Amino acid sequence: MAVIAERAIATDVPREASFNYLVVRYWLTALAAFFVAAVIGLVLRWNQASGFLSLAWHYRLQTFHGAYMAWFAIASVAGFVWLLIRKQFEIVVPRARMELVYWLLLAGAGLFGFGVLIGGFAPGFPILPPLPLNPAGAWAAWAVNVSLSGMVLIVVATIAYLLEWLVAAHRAAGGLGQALGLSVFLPRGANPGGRTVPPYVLAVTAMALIGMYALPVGAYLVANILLKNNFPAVPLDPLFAKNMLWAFAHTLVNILYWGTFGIVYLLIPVITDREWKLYRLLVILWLVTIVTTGMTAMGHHLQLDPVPFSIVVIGQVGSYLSIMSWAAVSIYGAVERIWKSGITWEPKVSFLYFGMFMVLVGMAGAYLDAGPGFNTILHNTLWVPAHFHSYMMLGMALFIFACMYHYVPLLTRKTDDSTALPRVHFWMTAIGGVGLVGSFYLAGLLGTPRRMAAYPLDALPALAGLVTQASVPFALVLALAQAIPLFYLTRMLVRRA
Amino acid sequence: MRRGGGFALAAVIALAAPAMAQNQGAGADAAVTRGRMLFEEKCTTCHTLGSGDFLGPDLAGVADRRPREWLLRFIVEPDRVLAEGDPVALELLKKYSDLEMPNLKVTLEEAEAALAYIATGGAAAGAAAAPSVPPASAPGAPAAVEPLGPQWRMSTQVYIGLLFLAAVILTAAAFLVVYKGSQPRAEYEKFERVFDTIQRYWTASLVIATLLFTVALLPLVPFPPVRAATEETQVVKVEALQFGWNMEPRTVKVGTPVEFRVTGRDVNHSFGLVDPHGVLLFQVQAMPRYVKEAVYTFDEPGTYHVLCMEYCGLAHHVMRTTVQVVR
Repeated sequence: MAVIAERAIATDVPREASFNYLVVRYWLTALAAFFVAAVIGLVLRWNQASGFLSLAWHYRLQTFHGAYMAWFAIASVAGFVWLLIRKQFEIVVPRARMELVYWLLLAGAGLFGFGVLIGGFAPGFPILPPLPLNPAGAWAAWAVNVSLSGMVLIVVATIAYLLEWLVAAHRAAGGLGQALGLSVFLPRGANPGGRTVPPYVLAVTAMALIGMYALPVGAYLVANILLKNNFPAVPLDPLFAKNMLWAFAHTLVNILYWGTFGIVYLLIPVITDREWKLYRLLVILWLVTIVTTGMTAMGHHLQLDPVPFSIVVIGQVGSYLSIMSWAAVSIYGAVERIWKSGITWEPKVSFLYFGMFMVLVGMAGAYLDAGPGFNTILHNTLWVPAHFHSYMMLGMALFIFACMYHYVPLLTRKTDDSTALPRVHFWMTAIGGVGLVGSFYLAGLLGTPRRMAAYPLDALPALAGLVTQASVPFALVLALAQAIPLFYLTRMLVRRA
Repeated sequence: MRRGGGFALAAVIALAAPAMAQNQGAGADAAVTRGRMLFEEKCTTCHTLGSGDFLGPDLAGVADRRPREWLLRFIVEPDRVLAEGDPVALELLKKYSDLEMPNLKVTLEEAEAALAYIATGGAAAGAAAAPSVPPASAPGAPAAVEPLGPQWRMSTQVYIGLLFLAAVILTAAAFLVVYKGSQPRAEYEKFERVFDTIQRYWTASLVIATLLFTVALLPLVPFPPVRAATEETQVVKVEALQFGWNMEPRTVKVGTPVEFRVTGRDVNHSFGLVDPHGVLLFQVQAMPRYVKEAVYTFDEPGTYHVLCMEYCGLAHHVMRTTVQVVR
């Protein structure tokens, strides 16, 4: 099933135009959110360099920026999941359910944004309790209710589409064990039909499975904060809440990355014309990733907290093991297939290739940060946004762009022979992104705290101020570049076939 | 709203510290001196004395504008005054970006001393001047530390940077080699076996590196059980609150371990200690209801900055104080 299925899925989309346009609508909405959040990111960096925003607006925009970037990934992956369910499993999800998820996501984003922009809700993203409840007068209780209700809607919608995948995978692949690739451990001849799923099915199934743990944890935490916001007698322990927050937020970001790596697993074999099957080492490391990401990787967020020392060590080892499968087999496997493949370096390939490189860069940053001896001087500095911007903004987002540039012409049945705009998009994103992220890494080493409207430069080396100012032009290039896919894909939608 | 002036103010306060010590016990001026120390410790995060509004109002002449009883009560229990809906307090809240004045656990006696100092308009000290320099992050802002001093060249941060740079360069080199080697097309089966072998060694080396790294980094941990208090350890109790630090004592000695017992009052904060050269030495979480210990032995006297490293609200970036380290 592997390579034939990949070819069919990657080159032959459903004939039902309304379904195809629904997928495109998910992606275009996500792109719009990404563009807005990128421009806000630029404003934040600019403000840190020159200070023109009020404190209230800086921290509102900071909260908005983080939340909408996460929303971009959630909505993009949703579109990808709908497409895969239809193509891989040939299962038709009722249109009403896909529309419901879309509108729930949109309503959630709207409510969250309203609470932030109008209500002044600015606890940063994610929302570390008990700050949402103790704003020192900066926002009203109603803003907490509105924004967190929006978060609940987003969490519910995400659970819904991941459940759709799990049900479809269970039915079509012959059980979740099969969908996780466990058949590779069966003796020869014991596997019914002798089939194993392709790696992208494993990646998306893993995402959905761990999502069923992380998202309810998030829903519980948000509900706890909401309840305490309205009934102060409701208990909320700060340490327990912090555990819950990272079990939710860190895991959610990780699994969304798995979903987008499904794009790499899907497109690389087709682009290079080389099969990518599951094999035992890949599945073993995937299982290690699933267990460690789900259970222990968030432990590095607790290394500076009043927790038993064993938790500190478990957090370190769990974090290291959670990224093993990416460095050892996944990205390695993709790069291996590109060697002597005669590949055409079109923009979508550049996005995939550079994205994988930046994921490894981010992982090197994460590796250093997750050791408690280093964590104590890197945590809460700009090193942290440096590493997650590396593998989200310059990894996950780039995989999504590659997916859109590949599929939107197919889904809309319209072609654009010119690759000039995607190419400009790639180079502006790469140059702006590396400059910005590089400034974050350096500033982090210089001890510059993250999430500050203005930096305490009299306490830090003078270089910290120069780094901040030098990064603004890169942020400008990066933000402007994100208008390109929006323009390109919208133009494709409205032009005649 | 002017921002960042508090940073410059903190530097001015640090320079004025020796002079403050000399003034202690000066007879009739004792209350004013005590009030000045209190003002500099707890009020200057948000207020100035004669240099205009900051996060809160300029307190110059405040004794003439408000009844003394109201001022004393508002200094001691601002949260209760606000909760009761006091119209003056609510008006101030609205005027100053809805930033609530926190309860700083100031006693009535301390509040009277602070008012005595405020009534002098800062003349008794002069040093409690106001932020008249540009915001700390604005272009041209003065830096109180050298660009990258000798201490910096020896810091853990440099080793981290070198490790990271090596990883990035090696990865980039590998990706460049594959990019160049992507053409022309050749049969995959020719090198599939070699790639499989490389993959096994690569995976094994990553597992070994993980184990080594785990063991190698543990001695750098600044808290128990790796570093624990001894009998001679100096204890500093630290309480973080929106948006200031209660810390006792504020002066410690070089050469003897110091145990910082850090907690939070309201939300999560993080106690980050920066040395006089601008090197972040360590940080630990300041969490309500919990205490986290960190042990550090200073080997150099000077003024060390304390920064809040965990976002804790709109005035997070001005939540700072200093620790004096003496011989």
